[in-house]
Amino acid sequence: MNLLRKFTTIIVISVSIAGCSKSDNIISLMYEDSLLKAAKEAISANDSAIMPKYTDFINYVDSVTLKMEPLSVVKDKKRVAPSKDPRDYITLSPYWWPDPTIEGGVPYIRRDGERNPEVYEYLERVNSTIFAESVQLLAVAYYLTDNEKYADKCAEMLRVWFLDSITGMNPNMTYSQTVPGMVEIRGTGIIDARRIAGALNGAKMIENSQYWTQEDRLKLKDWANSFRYWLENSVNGLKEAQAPNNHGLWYEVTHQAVVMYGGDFDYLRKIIVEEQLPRIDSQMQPDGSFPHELARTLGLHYSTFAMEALNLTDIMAEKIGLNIWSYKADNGNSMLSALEYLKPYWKDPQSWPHMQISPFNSERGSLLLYRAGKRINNDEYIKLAKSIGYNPDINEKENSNTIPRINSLLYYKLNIK
Amino acid sequence: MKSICNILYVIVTLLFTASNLEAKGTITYNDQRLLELKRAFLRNDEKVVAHINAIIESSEHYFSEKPLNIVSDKRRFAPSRDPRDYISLSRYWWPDPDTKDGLPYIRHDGESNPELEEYDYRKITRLESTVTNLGMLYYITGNERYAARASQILNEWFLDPVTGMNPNMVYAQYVPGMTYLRGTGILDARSIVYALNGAMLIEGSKFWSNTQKEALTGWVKAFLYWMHNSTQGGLERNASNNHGLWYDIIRMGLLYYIDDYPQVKKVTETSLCNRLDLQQESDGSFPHELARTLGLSYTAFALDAFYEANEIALKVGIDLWSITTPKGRSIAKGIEFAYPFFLEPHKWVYQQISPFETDRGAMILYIAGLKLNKREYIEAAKKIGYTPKPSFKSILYLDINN
Repeated sequence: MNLLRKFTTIIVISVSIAGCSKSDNIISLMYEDSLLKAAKEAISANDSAIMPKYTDFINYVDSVTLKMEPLSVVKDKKRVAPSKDPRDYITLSPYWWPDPTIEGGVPYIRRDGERNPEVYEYLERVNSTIFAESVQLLAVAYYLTDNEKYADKCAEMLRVWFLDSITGMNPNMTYSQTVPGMVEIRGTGIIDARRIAGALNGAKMIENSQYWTQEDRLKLKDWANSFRYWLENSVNGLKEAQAPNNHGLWYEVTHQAVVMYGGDFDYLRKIIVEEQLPRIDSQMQPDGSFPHELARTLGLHYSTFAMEALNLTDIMAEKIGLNIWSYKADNGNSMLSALEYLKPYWKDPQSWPHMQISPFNSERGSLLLYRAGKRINNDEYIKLAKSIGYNPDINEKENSNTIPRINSLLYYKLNIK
Repeated sequence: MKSICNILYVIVTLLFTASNLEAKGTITYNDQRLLELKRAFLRNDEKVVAHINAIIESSEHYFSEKPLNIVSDKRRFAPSRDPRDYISLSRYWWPDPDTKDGLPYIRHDGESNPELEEYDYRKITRLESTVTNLGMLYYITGNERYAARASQILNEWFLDPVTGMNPNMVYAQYVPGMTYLRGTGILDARSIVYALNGAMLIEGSKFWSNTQKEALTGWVKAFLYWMHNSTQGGLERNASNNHGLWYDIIRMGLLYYIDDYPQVKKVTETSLCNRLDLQQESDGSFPHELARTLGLSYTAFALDAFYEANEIALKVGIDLWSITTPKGRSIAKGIEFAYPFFLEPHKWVYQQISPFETDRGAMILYIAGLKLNKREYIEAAKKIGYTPKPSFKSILYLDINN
């Protein structure tokens, strides 16, 4: 028995060492950890290139985020899912309207581009956006300052959104972007789940805080694993994984974050290589364009949006030693060919030959160019990025996945000529 | 570190115990009895062979039957419209004659609504009996044919991307028109635990791959998450009658399937055992069951629950029969209360609007007799008589009739 005990002890120790070394190196799931470190150093060195941005950032977190009421899917709920469970996340698909020719109006019919004001009766979309943003703001503030008050608030918000037995969101998005009366099950609502991924990113960053206990961590890990099961096995998830456009790419980004949060690094590698990379092969044309995105009324936005998904895949991939920016498919497709395709339009959005019915913010391109330049050691991209500049509108909410307040800190060097 | 070692020690011990039994064992059966049954079959024990052959014969239809999943021939869909959501009707609820559309349904306790058949309930009980019988036949005869079919059915029910059941019971024991959430449907998940017995019995077959076992484990974990964290799970956990008992047994069974023995132990010790104090009166009766229109049946059902719990608990080293709570409650007390009525159901002083199934009482008394070493109970069981249907559940206790 003693021998057996010693033996199992050795196994347990070696397993935990292997496990720890892998995840302990990681500060966040979805940020470049080197940029987080650099920002922290620059702030402690009182570097004038970052201090004004940092002061804005921390003032905002102190005056707004820290004082916020925690959000949840049940908060002020007006519309409950068909399950009658207020803990089910539900939002409305924005361009669908009651059918005037039918009594009751269902099933709804599509009027593309016209937003149904009923959307605003489903609060989860905007609340999940604010929630994910707040969690990450607090988590970054905690990382940069080591001040526990940020972790405390962050932990509270995470518990209310995910873990509380009355307010905690059920780990699925069955009713995301729902269409009243529609019989077919769609996967499109999973695009909203990138906010969930963002929240997990924040949760990862406060893991060393006393306010985020071992129990909290295990519970959220269980939540993430359960959500992962739903993503991988539900009709909604299976459909979204097959989406031939940016939805497929974003599905995988969320999937990656959830898997990574659960600590399954081998599987993370597997889905990046076996699921996401083939989308580079299949979603692009030889000229580097994304034809499904070109067909949209916001073609430049959606093309950039697709690249933002792949870039996030790369940020996560980098943490396990993969480089997606240098991947080249057998058919010649690559992120770089897409970058080359989009580069001139990021420089000059007016020259975009396809549809783009709203203004496009070139700074998103700048960020992608900068990161590509760093990842493949191409100074020309970095130069171009700097010439476009990166001074994001910190109030921008729609059509971007980034949180400008955080990115303006992480990418502060973009503005150093 | 010490506790991790203890856990590993338990696992290792269990693995060794299992290998002694020539199979990994089951979740809810007495594995020793299973082994004896297998040995009796192999040495051509006349009585056992006759029974097994009867089961073999009556199992042929499992091979020709139409698909066994919740998607095929679905007549009633859950409000989610997802055919992969399990939906069953709450048995005793009927259309309200006073409303135009009959909604919301109203309760007539003890009277089963035939609309039951239009939902998925019958399918899940078929899953239970089919997979159990096929698994047992594989275990006893070693014929791969049974494992192949069981594997196919498990795949179809749980794992297939088109037909596989979503890992929750949000719409189990659904009441049309009801606007609040109930947890009662989780009771239907007993069948899931029994189906997992079958999945364990075909481990080792070439038709049950590691990939399948892992996928099924993933399903079970997701279902457990739902049981533990959903509003409905929380409601059922707090149920003060047999539902609360079964809630614990179901999660003990699922936890056992995923090899989480420490949690099985924890649920047994910190939840299930407390329910004796919470649910039993000092005379051994279960007042919440006495209040039903089928009071004797539900009393037996509560005792059944403790029996099932004990089979699982024994596998993690707890014998519930040996437990008397500080308030003096015990399973033995429950038997003491029920014993005269199992023997003479007509003397039952509470409601029982349909005849009581006397076989059930016989089995409960017989096992109690063995456990408590009480001849009186064993004699009573024999006197009541026991005519097992050709199923493994009953064949394990054939010796009642000896």
